[in-house]
Amino acid sequence: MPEHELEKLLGGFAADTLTPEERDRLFTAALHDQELFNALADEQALKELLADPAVRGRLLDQLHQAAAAPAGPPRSWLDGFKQPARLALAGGLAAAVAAIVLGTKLYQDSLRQSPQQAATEESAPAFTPPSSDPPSAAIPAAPLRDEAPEPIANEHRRSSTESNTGEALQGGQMKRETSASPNTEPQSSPPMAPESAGRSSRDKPEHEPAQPGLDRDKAEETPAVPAQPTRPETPEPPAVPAHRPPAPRAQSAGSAAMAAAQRESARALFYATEPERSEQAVGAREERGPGSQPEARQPLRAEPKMRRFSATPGSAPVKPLGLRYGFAIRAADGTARETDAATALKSGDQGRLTIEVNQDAFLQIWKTTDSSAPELWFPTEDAGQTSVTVPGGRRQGIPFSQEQQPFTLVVRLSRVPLGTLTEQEVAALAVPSNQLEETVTPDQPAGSQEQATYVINKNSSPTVQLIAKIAVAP
Amino acid sequence: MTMDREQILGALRERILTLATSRLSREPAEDLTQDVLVVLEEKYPHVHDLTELVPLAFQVLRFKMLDAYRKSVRRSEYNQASIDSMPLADSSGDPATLLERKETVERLLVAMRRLGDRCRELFKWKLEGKTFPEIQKLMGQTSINTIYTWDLRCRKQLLGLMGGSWE
Repeated sequence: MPEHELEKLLGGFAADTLTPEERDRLFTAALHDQELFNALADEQALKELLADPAVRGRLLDQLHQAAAAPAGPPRSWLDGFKQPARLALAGGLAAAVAAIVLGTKLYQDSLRQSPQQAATEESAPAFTPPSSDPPSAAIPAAPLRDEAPEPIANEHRRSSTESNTGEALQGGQMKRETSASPNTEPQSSPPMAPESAGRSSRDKPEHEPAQPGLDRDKAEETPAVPAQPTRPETPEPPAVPAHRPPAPRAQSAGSAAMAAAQRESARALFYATEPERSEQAVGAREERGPGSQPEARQPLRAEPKMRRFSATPGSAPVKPLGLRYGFAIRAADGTARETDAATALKSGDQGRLTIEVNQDAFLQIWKTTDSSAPELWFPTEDAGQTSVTVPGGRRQGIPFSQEQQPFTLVVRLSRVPLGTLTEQEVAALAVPSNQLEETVTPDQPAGSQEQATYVINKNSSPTVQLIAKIAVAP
Repeated sequence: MTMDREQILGALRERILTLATSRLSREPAEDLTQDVLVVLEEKYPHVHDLTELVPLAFQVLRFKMLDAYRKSVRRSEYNQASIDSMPLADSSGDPATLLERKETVERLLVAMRRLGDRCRELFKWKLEGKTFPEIQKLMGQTSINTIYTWDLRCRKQLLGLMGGSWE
């Protein structure tokens, strides 16, 4: 072995397996070669390790096991993962599988949640065309006031409804609109997609909860006013359309064409296909006790019975949107009596504006005067909404405050939520030409004690807007 | 050429001093070299054979270098206290040394497992005390240089798996 290859004997030095000749050559060379000497010095550490019989035994055991492995069964596939490349590959595959599993789960969760989100959206007061189905199919036959609390499908609406419970006012059947979108409808009442309308009807509660302590304001339903066959509280028999109420004393906005159309009585149209009215509501007394104090004018908790709009658009003729309004005062015994605007206004806190619609609709009332800018009168600004849902077939009262000068209430009624208006837009509001208006007074030949005005918009468009202007002079 | 003890010690002093100087400063290296030679001179005066004296020198040198390293760590390199007053530690009973030894063995075992079959076979024969000529026969090689080359490569591979040092 050449001198420069003596380093190959270093392995034998550590294991102490050099022959005497190799040892002599290696050490002699180390004394003359510093690098070899240094290498031998470094090998001394290993030499000492291997000189320990215990260490040598452990190493031998391991080497014997490794040597026996090829002759035995194949190495486990897990051994392959001990190599960094294969370990990285395995890690990458594991991450990919985890991502797929997680992504699949998220996708399934999203699919599972999508119906719930749709339900949440459906709880919004999106318009659904009124149903032409028989009342028994869409509306519970039991009186609404006696119905059990409705099962509310949507938690958001529930919380909103509950939060507004204490805000109920006189005319307790009127509820604060809880899910109306304030700005969803511009002045022109844009049409709503049929899909949205169809969804709106699905999750609407079927019943409304009774509102204890609320002034249902069925002024005309009290014994103070003798019940008349043609009273609006009384559900119209199927033959109602044939019934001709007393001739209206007041005419509609003045249109000659509308005068000709008066043959179709607004009141008759109002009750013509009225499925919502409650039989037991007729003649009922006000639920508030005589000592109850009238609350301030605020929108009541509104819970539209959208199930009543379950009919799909176009599936049946749309019932004309109708409004009945009047004025009433509350007697000391809690009963209500219809009267004229001046009397109601002079009665102070006991006076109120009564509102009834022939189907679920969104209500908004503006107050205009000659000396001040229009203001949103109902719902009040502190309600945080621009319109409230009024259930069809329920008369509700909005208390007056003391007024010293004449003013005009502009009532907007629509099947879709009503947005706010600018002063100019309020001033430009005009009564649609296709509206019918009919005022019924107690001195009608038929002997009716009713004192109210009926307004019908004959337009069957789902987004039609009924506008009524009520002049009030103290 | 046969070297007598004085010649061997003279050569050893030169190599040890060069080695120590490359790893320590000059003065400690000289002290270290002197300490090694003192031990060889005083404790092993009867050893004359090259094949015994050189390995013995490597062993003493390693002990002295470990002691110098531990003292420098323990007392810092700039501590001017004389190390002569400090007795040499008994490495066999030092827990730290035992722990280091145990860890080194574990690393060696791990490194051995990562060797190829030929290297593991070669190391197995060596640990069993087989000389290179015997290993040549066991592995069926006609040339002893083949075994030398294999052993050199396997040793370098094992040293690399150990991190470049046997300690």
